[in-house]
Amino acid sequence: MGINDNNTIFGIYTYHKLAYYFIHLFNEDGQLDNETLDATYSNFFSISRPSKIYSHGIGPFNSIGDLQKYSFNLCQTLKSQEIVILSVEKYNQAVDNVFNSEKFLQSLLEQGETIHNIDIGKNNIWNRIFT
Amino acid sequence: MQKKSITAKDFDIIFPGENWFLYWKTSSTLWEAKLAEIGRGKRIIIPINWALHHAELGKYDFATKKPETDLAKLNRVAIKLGHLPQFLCPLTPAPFIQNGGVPHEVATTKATDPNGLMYTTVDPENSIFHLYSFFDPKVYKSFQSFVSALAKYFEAEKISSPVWGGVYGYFQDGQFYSYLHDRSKLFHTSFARFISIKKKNIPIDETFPRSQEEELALIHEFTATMQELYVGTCQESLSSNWEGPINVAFLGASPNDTFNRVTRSDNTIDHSRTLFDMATRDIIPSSILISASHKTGVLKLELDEIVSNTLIPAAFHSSVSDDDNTEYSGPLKLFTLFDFASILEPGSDAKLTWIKTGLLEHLKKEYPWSYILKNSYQNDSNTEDYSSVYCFSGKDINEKIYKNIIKFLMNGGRIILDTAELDSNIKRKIESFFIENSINTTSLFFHCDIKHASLGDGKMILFDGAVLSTKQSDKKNEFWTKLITTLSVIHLPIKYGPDICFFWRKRFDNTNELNYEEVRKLNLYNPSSYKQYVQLPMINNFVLIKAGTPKYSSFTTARNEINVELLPGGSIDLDFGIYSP
Repeated sequence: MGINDNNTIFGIYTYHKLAYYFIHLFNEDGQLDNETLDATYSNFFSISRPSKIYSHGIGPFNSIGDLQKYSFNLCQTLKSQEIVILSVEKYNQAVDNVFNSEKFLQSLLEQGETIHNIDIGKNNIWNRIFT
Repeated sequence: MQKKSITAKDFDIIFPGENWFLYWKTSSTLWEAKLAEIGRGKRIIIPINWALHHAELGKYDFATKKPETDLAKLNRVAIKLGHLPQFLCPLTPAPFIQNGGVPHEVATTKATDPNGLMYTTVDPENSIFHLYSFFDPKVYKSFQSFVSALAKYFEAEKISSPVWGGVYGYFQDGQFYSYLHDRSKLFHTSFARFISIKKKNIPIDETFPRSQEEELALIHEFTATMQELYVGTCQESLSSNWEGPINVAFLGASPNDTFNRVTRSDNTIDHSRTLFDMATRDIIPSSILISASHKTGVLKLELDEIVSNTLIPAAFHSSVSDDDNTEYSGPLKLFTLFDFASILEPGSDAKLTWIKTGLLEHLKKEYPWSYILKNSYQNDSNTEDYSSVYCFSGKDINEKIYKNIIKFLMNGGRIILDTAELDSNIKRKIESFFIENSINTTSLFFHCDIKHASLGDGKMILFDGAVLSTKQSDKKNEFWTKLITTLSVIHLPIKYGPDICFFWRKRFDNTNELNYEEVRKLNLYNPSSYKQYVQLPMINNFVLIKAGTPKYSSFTTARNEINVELLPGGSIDLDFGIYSP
């Protein structure tokens, strides 16, 4: 599988009416299910996700910082090593000259901002020491 | 000379699904051999590859340079083999050709989806295609020139096979979106010009559009205008071959699907569910973007039986070529729901009339996959379906549609009409019609005002959707249950497990079945990975005539019911003869 051996999550976000929203979130198993995304949002903000504002996205996030924090939470929930996030504009740049699906994810990885799940990294270090 | 049989892989590349023939993917010297491989008398769908025929600006290749552009030869070969060639001229970007089929010289701006993401599609060989916007005036001008050249070529070569307009798109969140649903910068520039023309009639200090709702309606109007431009161009040039536009939705082509496809995580159950949802819309599903390895088992059966053998013959019923080879007269549509505002923008709070009033939810539960939702009404006395209850939203009724509805009623049709937003003049005309023709009407109140009118076999029920929309779901369900009982809908209710899919088709009767008023075939499918059961209660006017060869399934008949057991991947078909109650 290559790029997704570590179960990387990819997220594409947009800016709509003064807030950020994730419009696509997927990993090696495809699109992430809405239940997990909603539950992570609710846990993160301690409120239910208001779905009427922009019903086709996960959010709202008032800042990029909040978006990044949510992304990290998602990594922890799904025990993924990292999440790569891209704005719509960055996504379009990334895929503009990609013509096969093998290079598609590689290009997203190169153009996106990667947020590492340090907990998983930490576990690996401890595993290496104690095994 | 002995011709080599094509390999399975080659076959799938050239015939990627439902007898679509991608003629440019093989040498023209092999066309006859390849078309012979699929047997005789097939309806072949030939999408025209605009970019392939584009030589340079204003000049086109129809067998002058590349032999693969010889459409006349292709047409001759297909007809010689007893096939029915159906040409598809693109009215939108094509997701199965690089650049969407737009010639390189005029492909400048990429088309984007409503979220601003570039449209990308994945073909069965995992190549990625980017689509170019049809809102570019250069693209339109080039298209106009190409279609004119195509028409002259067809006339010179005496090609009389039908040409349809392919409105290519995808299915997402229960809706069909054509690739003309493009929100690129080019779209916004063109839309701004459209708004400035409209604004000429608005006072200068007034904001226009005045609300988000108005803006969405204008976007819808503008997109429809652009679509009409491309359709009109084809209609004018290709007049003797032209059959009209046809919506084609590709499995695996939505923006959501792209991510499932690049991660190789798309699955047949999802495609199966999407296929059944597509069948309730006025669109033809196509699986040509899905690899053959995914189209196995139940999905393959569904594509063959529902798409190839039922939906395609019903949709591509041409005035030019007559096809009597099909066993089926079409899918069973007990209800036809018209709603002209059926394209919704993401984030919009607008809802279809039939969602607001609860009818769609009721039909999904009680008459699954036995209805169709249409966003236009083209009255044609040859295509009116009197076995279907026609449901209209008042906001869509103009003078012309009103006259057609009355004609339908007088010919024995059954109509449900939501009077919310019905034009007051039309409302008065309907009332006058009832009075002038001494039509029996009954008025009552059941969760909202209802008026019931009968004219022989014809029935019209008017109800106040504005009031009904405010009720809770259970009240709406109660309303529709009661109302539909007055419409003589003959239907066999089915008890089935969560992942079971089924499809009813109307079948032509044979000489042994002339005692029945109607014959229907029920196809049951289990795409899940576990055993499931289906019960069919035998009601008085349904008689089981025969069962087809079961695949991983079996059935037993008890006193008043038929019990079907379907193993994972199982399917069975049952034919029923129907008497009037």
